[in-house]
Amino acid sequence: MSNAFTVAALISAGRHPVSGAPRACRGDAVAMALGRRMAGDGLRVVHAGAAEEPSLQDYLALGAGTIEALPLDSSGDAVATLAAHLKNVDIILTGSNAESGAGSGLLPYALARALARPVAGNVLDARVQKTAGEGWDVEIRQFLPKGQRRRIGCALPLVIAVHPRAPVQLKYAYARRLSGRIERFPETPTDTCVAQPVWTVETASRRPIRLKARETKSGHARMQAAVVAEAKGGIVAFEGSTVDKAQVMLNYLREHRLVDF
Amino acid sequence: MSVAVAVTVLFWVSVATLAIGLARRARLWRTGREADVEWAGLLAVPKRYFVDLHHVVARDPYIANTHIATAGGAFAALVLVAINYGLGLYAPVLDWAILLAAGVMLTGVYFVWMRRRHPPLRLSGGAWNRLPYTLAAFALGLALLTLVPSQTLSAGIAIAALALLLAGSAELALGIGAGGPMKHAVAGLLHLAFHPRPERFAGVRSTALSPLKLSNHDFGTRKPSDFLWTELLSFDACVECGKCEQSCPAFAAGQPLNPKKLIQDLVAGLSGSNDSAYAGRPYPGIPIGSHHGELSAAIVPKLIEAETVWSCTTCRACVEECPMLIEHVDAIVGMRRSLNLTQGEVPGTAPETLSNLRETETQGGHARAARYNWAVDLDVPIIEPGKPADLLLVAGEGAFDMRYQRTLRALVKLLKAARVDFAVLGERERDTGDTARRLGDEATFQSFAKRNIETFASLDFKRIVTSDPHVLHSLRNEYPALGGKYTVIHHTALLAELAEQGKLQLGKSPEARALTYHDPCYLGRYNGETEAPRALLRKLGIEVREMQRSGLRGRCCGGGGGAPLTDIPGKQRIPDIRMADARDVGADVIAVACPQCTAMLEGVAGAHAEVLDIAELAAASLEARP
Repeated sequence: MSNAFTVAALISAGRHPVSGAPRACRGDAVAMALGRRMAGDGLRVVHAGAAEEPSLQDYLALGAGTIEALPLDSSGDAVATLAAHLKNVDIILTGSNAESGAGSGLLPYALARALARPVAGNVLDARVQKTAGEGWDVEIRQFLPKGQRRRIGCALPLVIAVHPRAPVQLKYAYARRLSGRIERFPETPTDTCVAQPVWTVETASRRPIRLKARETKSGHARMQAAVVAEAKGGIVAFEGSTVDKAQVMLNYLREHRLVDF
Repeated sequence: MSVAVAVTVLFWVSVATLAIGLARRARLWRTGREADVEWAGLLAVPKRYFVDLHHVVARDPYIANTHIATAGGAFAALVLVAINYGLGLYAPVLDWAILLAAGVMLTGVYFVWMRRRHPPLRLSGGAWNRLPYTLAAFALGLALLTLVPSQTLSAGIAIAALALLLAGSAELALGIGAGGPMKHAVAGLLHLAFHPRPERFAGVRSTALSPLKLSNHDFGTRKPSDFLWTELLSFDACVECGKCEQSCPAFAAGQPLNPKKLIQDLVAGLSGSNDSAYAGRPYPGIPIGSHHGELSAAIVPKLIEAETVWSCTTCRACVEECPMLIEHVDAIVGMRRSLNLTQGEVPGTAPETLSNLRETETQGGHARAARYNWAVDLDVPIIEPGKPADLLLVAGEGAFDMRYQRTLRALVKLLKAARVDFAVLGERERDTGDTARRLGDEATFQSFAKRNIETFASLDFKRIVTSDPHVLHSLRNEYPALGGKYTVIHHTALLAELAEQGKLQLGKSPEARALTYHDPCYLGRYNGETEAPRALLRKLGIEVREMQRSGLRGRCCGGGGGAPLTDIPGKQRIPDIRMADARDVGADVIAVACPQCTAMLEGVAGAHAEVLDIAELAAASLEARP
């Protein structure tokens, strides 16, 4: 298929949420697989960051072929570097969130603003088709909550943020990991300056979790509770020593399986 | 005299035909990859035939005796004809010997014919059905020529006898080269000489998969010519007896796998033909005749469908039953390796498990630190460098399964009762890579093996004990090829040993219900350990009601080879079949010794026998002690 349009997928360094091991960021891998379906071998795979990043190996195994690694300059501004590198690319695919770094999901929007293009978020599927004229446009299926989907049409060029549950199959093949290449690009000076969001980082405070007894009443009992006004059940332990009162509480916790001893 | 000369001519023409045919067949075999072969294997063929092969054949005495008569008679007759007619001796004494041999052969052929009248379903028909007739023709022709003195031989009888002989010789000489049924004789003997696992003949249960040389870009078997040439040869040895099909759990469950058909498909791939000549039962649900193979064309999916390759539980029941000692599981894993390593084509939830392994070093995507959470209140020592222990307990993936944690807790209780100096790996433990390897992900397996061997090298222990036969198999049998040599012992063997030495005082088990024992494939067939679990049960005063298929011939639970992950649909589930086996012997308790078997059998829907690990039974007896 000879493409009159160009497609690039952006990939980031992923980290497993449990082990922290480097891996292909799931959302980006999905975006790459969608790009492969749109552009076949013509897909460009671009990583803004070090070529030595270990997770790039996973993308090779997932069929990246050749990864263009763009070193970031001292400002670490991925958006400016990417915008300079991709200004001639018609469709730019990204995941919805990075797994490392801020993971704010802002990159597609910042990139679209830098390139002055529209951006489509939560995209499940995208197909490029010829318009009545000689141009191309994209038909997009977009994710909405509660099983709803929306179909939108959009002219090129644009930025597409792919939903992590886009229906593509990720196929990890070790042989591709060996045969794939990582192409290093020289550092490009960037003049476009995109305003970075200002973050303040603070540690999350740990709050006690309130234990709640699981509702084990039957459907009939719940219906009764809803239609018949009655006092809420429970025991008020006025009598006895502190040990007896503690025993009442312990019995309650045990009965509702909130403690296990 | 002229008849005798005609026999001589016929003999040498047949020899030449056979030689040409064999050369052509051999050229096909030799398209396979180079294998390390011991030419001395040729000298070992008689022993391997009469001892190792016959040991398997003799499980079916009818066909064993039939084959002895038929093949023995034919072999003797052929040697005698070669001497008497081939060399032109024409000695009457030898004629009598030929007559005797032909008579023996004819007797054998009669029983072949008898069986082929109402053949069991597992037998292939087609070309195999003509065998009693062509072989009978050969024997009759020889008998006629040697029985009737040549002076009194009328031209009619002579021509008839020669025609019979010609028909028989065609089967033997032409048929072998053209890939007819009789090719099993030559290929079978050569296969015994050049078997890919020659250590099997030395009494070793050779079950380890051979490591791929990934650095040489060896990614498994994509096309028939990627097999070792000795493997291609072994496929030609198949006699289509269907013993493998009869024992295959996936076939029984209606999953699209039939080991016999698989081998025949590979023969079709070898000879560049389609599968329409195959006259046995198909892969369940896949019709015969639509698949075609070429020596240098991809096997999946043109010749064999991917579901077939992924249905196998790697239980090795087919290998155990095969009278020709063919290695089906090696062939299947070879094809899986290619699918996995070059295309990443793995069905079901297996890709998720494999990425979990790569990213968390556990199959379920758990934190490594959580592996011994079940032991948090048991005060189990954790091994560290410079802190030696006699025994290293490796729990395996079962440690994350809440059901199996009960077994592990029972095991720890027993080890403590026996005052054994043991420790667990704790956070250092990662998966052995066994499941990855069965799923064809050799790269992940090798990287796990490398890292585990490094971990073990930093620790000081004498033996490894594990309750997971899959861990046992990879550590004991497969790590040595990658440089890790350990003494690994299964928990049932250890407990039996401790009980034998008197270190573990077991009481009488309070279990009064009827109990049967399910042999894990990776403990029984892969490691030959069927006695220790039974000895332990006997010590507990439990009598085992043996299921019809037990010990080395036990039926798989369906949990091996990553089959629960690839989850190829069938008509029923393999564990249901196994549970029905237990029901057939009236067992209320099914004793197990493997986390996979536990999970599979526990997963049987409806009322079923209670699944208890031998460790749980043994631990319960501690409380019953006086």
